[in-house]
Amino acid sequence: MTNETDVNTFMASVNWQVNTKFSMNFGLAYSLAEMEMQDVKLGSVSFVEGVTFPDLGATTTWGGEYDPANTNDIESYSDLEYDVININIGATYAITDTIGLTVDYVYEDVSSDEDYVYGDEDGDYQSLMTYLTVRF
Amino acid sequence: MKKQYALAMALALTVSLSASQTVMASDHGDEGSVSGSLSVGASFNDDSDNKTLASEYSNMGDNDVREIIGGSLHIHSGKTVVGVEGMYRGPDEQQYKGHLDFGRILQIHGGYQEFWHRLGQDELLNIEGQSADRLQGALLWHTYEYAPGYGTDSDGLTNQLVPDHEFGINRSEFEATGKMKFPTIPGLTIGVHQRSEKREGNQQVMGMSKCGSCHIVAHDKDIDETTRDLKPFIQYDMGKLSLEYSYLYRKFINDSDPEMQYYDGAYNPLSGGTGGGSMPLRMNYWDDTVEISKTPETRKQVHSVKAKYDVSGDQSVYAGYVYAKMENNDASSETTRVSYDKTLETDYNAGMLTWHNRFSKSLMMNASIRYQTIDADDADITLPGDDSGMFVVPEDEYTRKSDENRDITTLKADLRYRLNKDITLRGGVEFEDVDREYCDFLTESDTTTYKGKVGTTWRVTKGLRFKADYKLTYVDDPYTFEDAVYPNVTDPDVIDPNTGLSLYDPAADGVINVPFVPGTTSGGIYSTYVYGTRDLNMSATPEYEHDIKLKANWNVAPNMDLAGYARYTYGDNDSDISFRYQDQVVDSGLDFTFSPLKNMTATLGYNYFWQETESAFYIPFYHG
Repeated sequence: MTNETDVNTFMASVNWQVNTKFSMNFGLAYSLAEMEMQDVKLGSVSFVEGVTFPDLGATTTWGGEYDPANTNDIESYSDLEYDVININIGATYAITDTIGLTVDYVYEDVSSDEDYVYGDEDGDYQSLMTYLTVRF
Repeated sequence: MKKQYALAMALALTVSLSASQTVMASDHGDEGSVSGSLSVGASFNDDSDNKTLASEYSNMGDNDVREIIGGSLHIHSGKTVVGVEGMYRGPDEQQYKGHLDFGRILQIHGGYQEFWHRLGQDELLNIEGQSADRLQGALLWHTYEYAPGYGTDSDGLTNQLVPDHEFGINRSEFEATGKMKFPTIPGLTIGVHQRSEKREGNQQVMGMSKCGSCHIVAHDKDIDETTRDLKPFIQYDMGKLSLEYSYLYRKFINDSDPEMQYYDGAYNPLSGGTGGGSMPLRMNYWDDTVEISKTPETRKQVHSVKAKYDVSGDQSVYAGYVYAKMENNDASSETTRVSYDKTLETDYNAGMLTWHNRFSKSLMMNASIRYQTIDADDADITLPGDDSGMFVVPEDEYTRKSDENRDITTLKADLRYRLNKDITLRGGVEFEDVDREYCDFLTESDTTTYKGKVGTTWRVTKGLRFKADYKLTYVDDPYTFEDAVYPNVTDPDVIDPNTGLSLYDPAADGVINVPFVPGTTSGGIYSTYVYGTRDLNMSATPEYEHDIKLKANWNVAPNMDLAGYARYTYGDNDSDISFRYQDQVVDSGLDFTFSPLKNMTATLGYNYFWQETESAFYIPFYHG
């Protein structure tokens, strides 16, 4: 059995104090992760329809219903592939010396191309957070 | 309730801010100062499709709009400094922290945080089986949402009738540390650390309804767990000699509702006609449910003594001793049907000694020795019998020796030599011996590990520096299961003693070439052809491992830095096992930092991770 994992991750960020009143930041992360399992050999007693068992002289009747090859697709079962994008944008503006406004935005998107275990995991989330801060 | 609590905290903070203005006014002219902030706002949230990964550690997206309340307060008055700050973004997303310093005699700091962790649902599609209610020989079913049509349609295609159920845990933690010093006894500090962690929610757990691998039952398990730590400590710094003693008392409390599972007939001989001889498993000789996925309540006590002695400015000795005692208070349980007449205990002892010496400006050395022992109770297990049903089953008793019992000896030495102002050389050796007391399933219970490493740091120019390290690990008798695999995986030439034919079936891709006959007295088939031929050893740990690390930092320009790193690990094991184990890891990347404008910093980064493991994979499948 061979298990192989590949993960590529790209990151970028910017922090900028534009002037004494205004600052902003930006962050981006993208990752592509893949994992696959190959050449799995399962030890098992096989089922072959109509074959006589040597010791007992009886004949099989279930015709492979419980053969692991039919009940488990284990190689694809363990494959994973994810694309994940994460974006963060933030800004702070000093309206006066004691009052400031903060705005933060976060976006996360997950794309899954192998949904055998946890189902379709495609999804996204975003949140815009804004608040006023009074300092003293 | 938590929301009200958090809002009350925020209100208290606001009130304290108002009050603090008065303090500030009265303190003007003194050495004191008061500062703080109050933040009020909202978050606007949205999510779509599956949220398990997209917002794994937040449930803010469950509400379109949520309030944000935050603030801070810092008071400095004479010798007293007090500070608190916090942010509330929803009942499952809040954090607070604070500190108090009174003349550096009394110091207290602590915090509280809370967040939501989404957990996924294994849909069990890999079973590719039809769903059915219990006692119907179901291949699978979800007890929290019975989906009769779930699974595989008659045309062989998997349908989409998957239970849509969300699982998640709210995790909250409070921790605080207080220290007190005594002006009359310089160097003496006493203190206490306290921590309380709580996990509340639901998670998916699974059990077997009948024969494993195929007949699976998924449950929605209640989680209500608390871990409480109390750790008083005392430190005494006498100049050259410093001492520290601490005592940790940890209690794990499990108030979760028990998850009870009913096993189908084949596992439950007393419930039906299959009883007694067909599958006489020891765990379930009664027609009733058994608790599964139980995390036992435990108690842990740790005594730790540390001492450091500075022989000179260049030489110091460090010694430590740890004694820990762990108790399983749920070793006996009515719901798991296991009776035990005492608390199951594990003792841990560790002693360590480290010597540090700077022989010269260029040469420095660390050497250490550590000895650890783990001693766990034998578990004398009593399984109750049953004479109320179709069969009379006597009580059963057996003793399970603990695999944890072992002695571990570790010796280490590291050397660093500065060749000149630009080049530093490093080297080290390590020896570790693990002597396990009860591990009869291993080919060798004693594992000895040897490590050697060399490295260098080279400053080529003022702005360019390279770092390189290599480590070789050799394990004498890696962790290896004896008789773990039967030969069809690796040896097509194994001959069936009864037929004289090969057990290997190339057409079946390695499956043993012996048919199975359902409904016959088939007990001999597994013993003959599965366990009977299982005489090959198996390991998934390396015997040799090479680890190479390279790193470079380049100050390209005053406003520009470039860093690159790469790591390659190769592990291999073909000793005393019947097939090869191999593991390779690459972890590499580039980081670029520059400042294109004044007050602007930008970074670009790339990381590549690759891992490949080659090993045999052994699963004995049962049938019907």
